[in-house]
Formats: sequence, C-alpha cells, structure tokens
Amino acid sequence: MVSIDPVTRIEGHLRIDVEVEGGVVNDAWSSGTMFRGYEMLIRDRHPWDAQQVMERICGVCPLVHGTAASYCLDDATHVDLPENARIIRNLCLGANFIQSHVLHFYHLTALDYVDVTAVAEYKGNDSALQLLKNKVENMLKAGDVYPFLPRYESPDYLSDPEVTATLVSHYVQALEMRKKGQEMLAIFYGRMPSFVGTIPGGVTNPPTSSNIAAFGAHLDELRKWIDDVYIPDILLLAGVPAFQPLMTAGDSGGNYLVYGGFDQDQSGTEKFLPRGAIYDNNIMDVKGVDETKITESVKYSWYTEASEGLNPKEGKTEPDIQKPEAYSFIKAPRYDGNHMEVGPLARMLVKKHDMMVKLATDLGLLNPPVKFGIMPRHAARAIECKLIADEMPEWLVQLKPGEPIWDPKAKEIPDDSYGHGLVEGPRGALGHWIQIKDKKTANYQAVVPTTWNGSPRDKDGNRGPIETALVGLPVPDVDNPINVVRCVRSFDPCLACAVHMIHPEHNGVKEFRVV
Amino acid sequence: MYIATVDFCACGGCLNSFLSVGEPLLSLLGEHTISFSSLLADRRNISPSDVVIATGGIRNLEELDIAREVSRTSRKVLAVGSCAVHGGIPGMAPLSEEVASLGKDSELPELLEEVEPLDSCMNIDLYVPGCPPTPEVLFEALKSVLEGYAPFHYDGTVCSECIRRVERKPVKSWSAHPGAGLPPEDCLLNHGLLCLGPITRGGCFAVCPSRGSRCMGCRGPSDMVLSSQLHSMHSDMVKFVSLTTGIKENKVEKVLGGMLKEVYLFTRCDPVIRSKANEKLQDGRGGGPS
Repeated sequence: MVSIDPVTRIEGHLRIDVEVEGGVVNDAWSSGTMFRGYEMLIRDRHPWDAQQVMERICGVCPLVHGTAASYCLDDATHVDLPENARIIRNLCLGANFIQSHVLHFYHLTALDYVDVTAVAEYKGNDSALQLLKNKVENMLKAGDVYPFLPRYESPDYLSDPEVTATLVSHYVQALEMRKKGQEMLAIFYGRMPSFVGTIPGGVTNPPTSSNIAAFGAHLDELRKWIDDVYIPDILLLAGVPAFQPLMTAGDSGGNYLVYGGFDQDQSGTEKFLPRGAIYDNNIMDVKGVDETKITESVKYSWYTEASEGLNPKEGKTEPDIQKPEAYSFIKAPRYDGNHMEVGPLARMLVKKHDMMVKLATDLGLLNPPVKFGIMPRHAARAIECKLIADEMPEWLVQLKPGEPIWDPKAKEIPDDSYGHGLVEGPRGALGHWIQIKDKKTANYQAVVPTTWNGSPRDKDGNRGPIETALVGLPVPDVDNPINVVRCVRSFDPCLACAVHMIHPEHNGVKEFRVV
Repeated sequence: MYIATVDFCACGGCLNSFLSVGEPLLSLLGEHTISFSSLLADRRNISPSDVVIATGGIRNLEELDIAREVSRTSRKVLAVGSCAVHGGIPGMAPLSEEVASLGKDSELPELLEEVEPLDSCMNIDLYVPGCPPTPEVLFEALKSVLEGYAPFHYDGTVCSECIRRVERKPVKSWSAHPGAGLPPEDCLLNHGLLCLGPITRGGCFAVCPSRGSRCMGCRGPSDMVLSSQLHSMHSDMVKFVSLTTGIKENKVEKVLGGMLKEVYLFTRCDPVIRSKANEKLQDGRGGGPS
C-alpha cells in the first residue's frame, strides 16, 4: 500500500490531530504540513506577474487570489478603477461564490449527512429518481459505491429513501450548476480556473450587449436553482432532529472578522458584504476593522522568530523547520491579539440580513448562551449564496458598453511603493500585500482564509478557530470520528486534511483523511 | 476499468477542471469504477488502477516515492496539466539553499533541488498539458484511453486557433504585461505584447488572446519547437517576431533576452526544454538578463 500522508491535494495540506477522552475531544492541533512559498516565487519579478502567478496559489479559488492581487496592484500603482471594471470584478467574484458554495455543500459536505445506500430502497414513481435508484442498486451489487462510500459510520445519517434519493439527484444536478457558474464567469474572464481578464487597473474584456445578456441568462438559471433546490435542502438538513446538537457544537469561540467584499463605489468605502469584527459572540456589537491590528504569530509555525508578531505589510516568509514546538507551515494570524473565524458565518453575522436573522431566530440560535456551530455555518453559506446571486442582476444593468474598462496608469510602476488588496472570497477574508522596490516586487504576502481558520496556536498558546471548534465535540466512536470531519469541513478548508486521532486508552494513532 | 486521480505538487486546478466535465463524469461510473480520488471521496490508499489521472509535478521525496509506486502498479498514466507535463509555475521556485534543505533531518518530506515533471520518474502514456486543460480536452483524453483509440493530437499552435490577425509591421516597444482596450481583431504582437501564441501548443482555443490577454505558454511548446534541436521556445519566438515586425533577428534577440522569464514561465524546470534553451536559463531563476 502507498502511504499518502501527507498528500498533496486541492491547494494545500491540512492535518488535524485530536485527543479524545470519554467520548469528547479534549484537545486539537491543526497543522498545514506542506510548504508552498508562493510568495517567494515572485520576488524580484515585475509586479504585474503577481496577478497571474498568485492566482495559481490555488486551483479551487484562483479567482479570489487574482482579484485580491489586482486590487493590491491597483493600490500600489494608485489607479482610479473605472466603474465597468469594478462591476465586472464583482460579477465574476459573485459567480465564483455561487459555484464554490454549491460545490462545497453538495460534493464535499452532503455525504457527511446523507446515507446514499438508502436510495436503493426508493419506492416512488419519479422516473429520474427511479433511474438513480437503479444506478445505486447496480453499484451496490457490484460492491463498489465509490465515491459515496467508504465513510465514517454514524447512527444519525439521513436514511429516508425519498429524501435521500432527492438529495442525491441534487448532487448530480449540482455538478451541472457549478459548471454553469464557471461558464458564467468565463464569459468575462475566458476560463476558470486560471482565468484571465482582470489586470492591475481594470479588466481586459469590455462589456457588450451580447456578453451582458449571456451572463444574465446563466444567472437567471442559477438563481432559480438556488431558490428551488439549494435553500430548501439546507433548511431540510437544519430541521433534522438528529442534527440539532450540531447547531452549537463546533462553535469557534465567538470571534469573527470580515474585511468586506464587493465594493459598491470606486473608493471601496461601501461594500455589499460589510466590514466588521465581532468578539465573544456579541453579535449586536460589531466593531470597525483596523488593518494595522492584524499580526501573525509564528511560535508554533515553521518560520524564523524574526517574523513573530509582524503585520503582513512587513511580513516575512523565512522557513525554519528546526523549531522544537512548531507543528505547522500555517502562520497564526491574530486580530487585536484574538483568533478570528472568517467566512460566510462571519459575514452573515456582521451583515445581519433579514433572512439570516429569521433563520437564526427560528432555530433558537439567539437564545443565550449564543453559539454558532456546524449547522449555522452551512446555513450562512447557503443564505450568502442566495443574497449575492439575487443582487447580481442589479450590478449587471449598471455596466456601460463603450465606457472605459482600464486605467493605463497601472502601467506606470512606481520606483518604490506599497499596496494592499483586501477582499472576501467564498472561504473568508483574504489579504494580499505588496512592497515594490526599484520597480520590482520586493516582498509579497498573502494571508488566506484558511490561514485564519486553520491556524495553529499563537505565542500565548491560544488555539486557532478550527482547533477551538473541535474541543468539546462529541466523538462517541473513535473509529468513526464523523463529527470531527463534519466540523472541519463546515469551515470549507480548501486543502487536504489528515486527521490523526490519539486515543489515550490504547495510545495508538489512527490516521484519517478529510476530503 | 479502475480510474484514479492522484495529485502531486498541484494546486487542484486540474481536478477542478475535471469536475467541470459535469454529468458525463457520472455516466462513466456505469461502466468504470473510480478506485481513488481524494477530490471526491474518503478512501485513503491509492490502489492499483488501470488508468491514473496524475496532476502536479514532483517537489519532494515523498511524492517521488508515490509516483514510482503508482507507475509500477498502474496500466496507463495520463500526465494532466502544465505542472505534470512541464513542472509548471512551482517549477520556477527560487530554491535557495535555505529552502532546498527543507525537510532534511525532520519528519517532513525533503524537497528536491528542482521541481520535476512526472516523466522524470513515471512512464507517461498520454500528456494533457494546459493550466489547466479544458474539461472537454481532459474528458476526451480520458475517454480515448478508456476506449483505446488515439486522441485528437493538437499539433497546431495557439495562433492557429486565434481569431486575431497578424500584420507585418514594425513595433516600437515590447511588454509582457498587457493593458486593455486593444482592437479585438488585431494580433497582440502587433501591439508589442509578448504573446506566446506562435510557439505554444494549441488545444485551448486561444481563449486568453480572445479575452485580450496574451498567451503565457501554459500548454508548453508546440510540436515544431519540440521536434528538433534547432528549435527552442525563445529562438522560435525571435524568428516569428522578426518575421512579423521586419526587425532583424539579432535586434529582437536583444529585446527578448530580457524577457525570458516570461517565455519560460510554465516550463523552466522541464529538462528537455532547458537543454534546448541551453545557456539562456543557467541562472537558475527562470530567466537570463532581466
């Protein structure tokens, strides 16, 4: 057999160790075990290279990185971003949110909750579901139900044949829907992943009546599917009595951070997803965000002590793998000294749209002690997907064919300059920072959403958000740590995970991988 | 047949593209079995497979071991994506001594001095380049291997698929970094953009130039460049630019000499391509004078 721990997958490599005692997680460690060093690849290169190289830091969310890099270089070259460019960037980012959230819920998460084998018991008359039933039956007969099995066994899987057959048919539909989301994005950006079309100072593909119409047609279809399928499915899951403990289990500690996303004006002051910071689950007290309060701790990360406590503007990428206490290549970003959860839940708690407030009220989440666990994280992602998709037609009609799409000032690279690009991606707050010296990239830093969520302990020994969320999680059967993977996946970590479970009684180490 | 997807030093983009094949992917499950895919499911060990879709290059010793094992236990291996075929973007890693020693005397897998394409340690049956290859090209490649027919061979260049038209006229200055707003029918080279369409393998349907961005050469050199020692990516680029602009080759060479990093963005660590570029790429950082 081939050992695949660690394995390179998606765009990184996360390993989780949890210690279980008495059926409950009592400690957890989150480790990124692969060194990428992308920031080092672009040193001394033309600053514009950052846009094309940094988007390849991740094949799942290249769009967000490319967009952050564009804003970063816009800032460094002091451009005035044309309205058309701002809107096209928002539309494509929105398309990316839709395809990413759909992919996460159906293809990466749903199998944690749904017993696919139950489809074989389907007795209804829907011809499409009958077809599906035959397929699953054949797979079961052949003895291979991959990719639906193997899985961690759990008594609480949804196993009603009607419900599971419907959900599995949605799994198949979702493949087409996310493809449609990517096609929509490609209307302006050519292809996805590794898109082209946004550059420092603007975009390269102008709006025309035909590409606006094509984009709108794709969007209409996706919006209908989100309303008819995605939202009802998430509500169905949230209403299952067996999953009620997951409403509060997996709370990351109550600190949330949002940089803000989708600029609504040229200065970026007004944003569709507003900025904000929340501490200790005080969701009614949203604080402003001060970028200078971001620091990165490296006490438990394989980087030299020289970068301890630095703001990313001055950040360093200097590996040191001999540090005795280190266990991760992920740094530990902190805001005002606190670990912060980033992502859809953070954004929806800051935005407090009526739909989110109503759902939280219905689910009893606003009763003290206020805690938002695994299921609210999924619900927030679905609601966000709908809110963005519903807003996009408003943006689409604001495009003006024939008006500028690019500010040529971006070509004038200053001798020395600094720029930052803070955006929101599907998985959370993303920041890129560039220092330009002698017209070349002297330093580049990226702090990605999973750096925030998957961070190790900081210099004070405080756990990162995923580590915190895991502690206290019920794990009745150490051979089937379903709740551990449910919790880790609810953050949508965009990387491979190896779950190493240390069981104090037999002192053995089991290795599991989160997909 | 048993199909596996295996990732080495990859970003996930190729598998993202693979997933974008959509429903036809599931129809494969009727006839064939996916034996391993970390993208799709929970199985932990790579089992012997008939067809392996391998993405990413080889960056560390552990990946090297896995690659050799996969090569030994699989019937057919598809190298998918620029990284698997040519090393790709990670191949321009500035492997300083500090970074190159990573993993030595620790539990972490030791890094190799250079990122290597998959054929440095595996038998490759089909190369599917592109960063990433389109879902259509990827699916067609997989189907051809499953059904045992020869896939379409993209022997043309990106230019042969491009709607822009080149004119023979001089260019004042060159840049690898496009602006926007160029006329949609004009060849980007005519506007002084270092578009690598003339030397890059087609099969992407020239999607980047069609959106106003230059071709960055992600599908690697065309058959013409690979076919003889007389050709290299930069020498052919020099010839083409000279033909297009009417500027003498030695003058073009001077300009392009400073832009080699851009020419070899995706292919710098490929031993075959490096050997053709000979002294031009010896500084180890993906470019000559700059």
